[in-house]
Amino acid sequence: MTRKDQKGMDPTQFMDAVVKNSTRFWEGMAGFSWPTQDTSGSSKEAGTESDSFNPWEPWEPAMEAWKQFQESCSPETFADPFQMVREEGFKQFEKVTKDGWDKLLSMGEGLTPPFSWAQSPFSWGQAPFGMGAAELFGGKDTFKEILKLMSGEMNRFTSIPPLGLSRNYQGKVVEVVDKGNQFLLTLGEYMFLMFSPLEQAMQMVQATVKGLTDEERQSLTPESVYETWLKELEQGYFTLYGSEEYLGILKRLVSAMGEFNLARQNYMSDCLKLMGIPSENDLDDLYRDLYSLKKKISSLENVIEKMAQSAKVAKTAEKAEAPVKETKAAEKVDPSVKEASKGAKPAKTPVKAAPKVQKAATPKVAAKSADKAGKPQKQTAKPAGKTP
Amino acid sequence: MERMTNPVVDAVTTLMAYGTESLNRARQGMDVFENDLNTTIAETPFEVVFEIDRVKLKHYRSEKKRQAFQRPLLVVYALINRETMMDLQPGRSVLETFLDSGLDVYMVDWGYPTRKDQHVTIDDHVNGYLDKIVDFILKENELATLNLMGICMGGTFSTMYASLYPEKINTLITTVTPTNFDTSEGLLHSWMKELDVDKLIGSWGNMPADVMNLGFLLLNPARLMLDKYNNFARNMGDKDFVENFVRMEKWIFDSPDVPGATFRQFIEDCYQKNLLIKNKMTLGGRTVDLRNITMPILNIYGKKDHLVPPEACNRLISAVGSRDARDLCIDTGHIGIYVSSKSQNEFAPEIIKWLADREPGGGLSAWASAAQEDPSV
Repeated sequence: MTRKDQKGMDPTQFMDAVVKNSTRFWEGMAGFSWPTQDTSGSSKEAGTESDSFNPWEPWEPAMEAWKQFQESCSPETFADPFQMVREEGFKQFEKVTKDGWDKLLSMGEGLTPPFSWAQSPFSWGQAPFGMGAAELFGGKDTFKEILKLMSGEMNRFTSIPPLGLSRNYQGKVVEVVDKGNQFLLTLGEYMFLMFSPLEQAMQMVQATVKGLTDEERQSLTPESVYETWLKELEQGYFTLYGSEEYLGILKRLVSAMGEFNLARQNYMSDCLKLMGIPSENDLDDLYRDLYSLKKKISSLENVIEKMAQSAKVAKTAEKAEAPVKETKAAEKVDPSVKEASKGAKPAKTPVKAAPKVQKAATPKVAAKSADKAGKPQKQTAKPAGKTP
Repeated sequence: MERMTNPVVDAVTTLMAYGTESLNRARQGMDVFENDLNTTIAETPFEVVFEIDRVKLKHYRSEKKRQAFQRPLLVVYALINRETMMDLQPGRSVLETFLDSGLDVYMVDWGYPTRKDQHVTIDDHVNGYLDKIVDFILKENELATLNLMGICMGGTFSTMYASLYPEKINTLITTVTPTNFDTSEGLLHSWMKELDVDKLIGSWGNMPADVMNLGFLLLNPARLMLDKYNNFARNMGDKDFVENFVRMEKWIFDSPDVPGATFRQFIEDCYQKNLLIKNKMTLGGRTVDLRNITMPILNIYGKKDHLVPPEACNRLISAVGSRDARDLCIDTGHIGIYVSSKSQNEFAPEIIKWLADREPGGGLSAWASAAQEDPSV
């Protein structure tokens, strides 16, 4: 007797057997011919009415339907929706853990005294302590594979159209999950890339040390090795940042982060709405309104300011001319003032606001010289300009 | 006879030596931390003389009896980080040098934008806030023009302002100011070209300071994320070092968010389309034409600046309309230009001298001769 037999069958085989047996059972039931009503035991002649009587006949369609259902439930026909994720995901996971574990074990081999990687001729040019980031995580393609897997296989579930009363809410939850996955995987890919200069710098330092003579190597101090490593690391990052690969991942990361944030915000808005709390989206609408109102007020203030200045000019002109020509002087007001007053009329802005703003922000109209302006009017209190 | 070496014994000895040294450093560090550390920044007294929304105008008055300069200097800092960098600590303060020379200084404090400010554009900053601030200073001092100095992004804003309102500006000083964004020298320039701004700020409203800071750190992770703190650990026992280090950390990570609309416009119009240097940028319906900058202009930048490389700065002088235009390249980096001891002797004194030469009546030389007559001046 095998161990499997003792402990039980393999779950897939067991399920297979159950389905097959039950199908066979119901097949038998469907085709079962019940004995006639006659209990005399005499045999009936073929072709008579009593011969064809079958009390289970009305059940036959139902039995047939059950049979079909059973068949559709068989392991052969019912595809495992997570099959790909399980198989491929496990493959990638196995790759990562196997490589990681192997390298972890090999650390023992390289883990002779500190800086032995610099001293031992056997380890020169190899990754420090036998551990390399690229190998440790199974290579950079791992993240791409997982991303492909997630976007391919998980999309089958996230793309199921939300239905019913709560379809909007379902959609947002699914979006958060989807965008969150994409962001995390892109972040993983990015982080992987960011670690690669660390490893390269180590290898470069090893190569540098290898090129030294014995005397030079003896004079090495941890500080000098650190400085060399740091320079190599710096150079490594500069090289990385200039690469197309880095720029591509950075762009994707920023997009993924933005999309995830937006999805999260939309989801949060729904939650807050349920509790009657204004969300950031609601506040953003208010801020937009507030901003445009402030802009309008500001432009109206400017109009009023212009009007006030022109009125001042007109008044001066009036004083200079004879009182008889008073009406004519009024007509000679600068056209821009007329325009300004036209613009101001429909808005009916309170005129009170004008002097306050003017005090805070009006530049000198006329300066006595290039440096000194007309009337000295010392500003004492803080002017309260309210609009940009 | 030569002693036989055992690698394991060597390793243990090395480890023990390092462990002891590290423990000693940590102990010394703890002694330093237990004492009162003076890590205050921006100690120079000022008065807030004007406020508009989140923006404040700080006035630093020169205590000299007689000022060498008739016009004050308005300093416009960037929206990224804070203007406190100009006054990091006594003895290493650009502001202090200005005030000691008898120059009255106004400085724009852009404040901390919140989500409410996400729609505020460059137009609002230049034609709105900055123009109102300039008008206020001119009115308060009964002047027709003032001296304008811009720092980094603030320099770009100042350049735009000087182009739109040349009649209000006596002289323009731009420091580490990007005006030509079409360069592959700086990593920041390469990254910004690839940036999808809408996706980045779409959900946050503003550009978060933490994200920007992370970006700046990633420009040189080896130095800024590893070596810097390793160096700190090695010098924990030095009180002066620790104080200076903490001051710098305070300034670096005291970062306001950048209003979303401003950030979007800055990236798209400047970094991606390079409109400013081409005289094609528009603000509030007006084209920013650099040829309108006819006042004297001094353009200072750092030779080792990795954020705003020299190529991003040195095209401005040939693009402006001024005949009195000068480039000054200092052998330092983006921040070092303001805070390094070397720059303290070069950067601020050079500005003072340049401004004094453009003052009517001799400026600084007149003030210096007056000071000789009366030492209290």
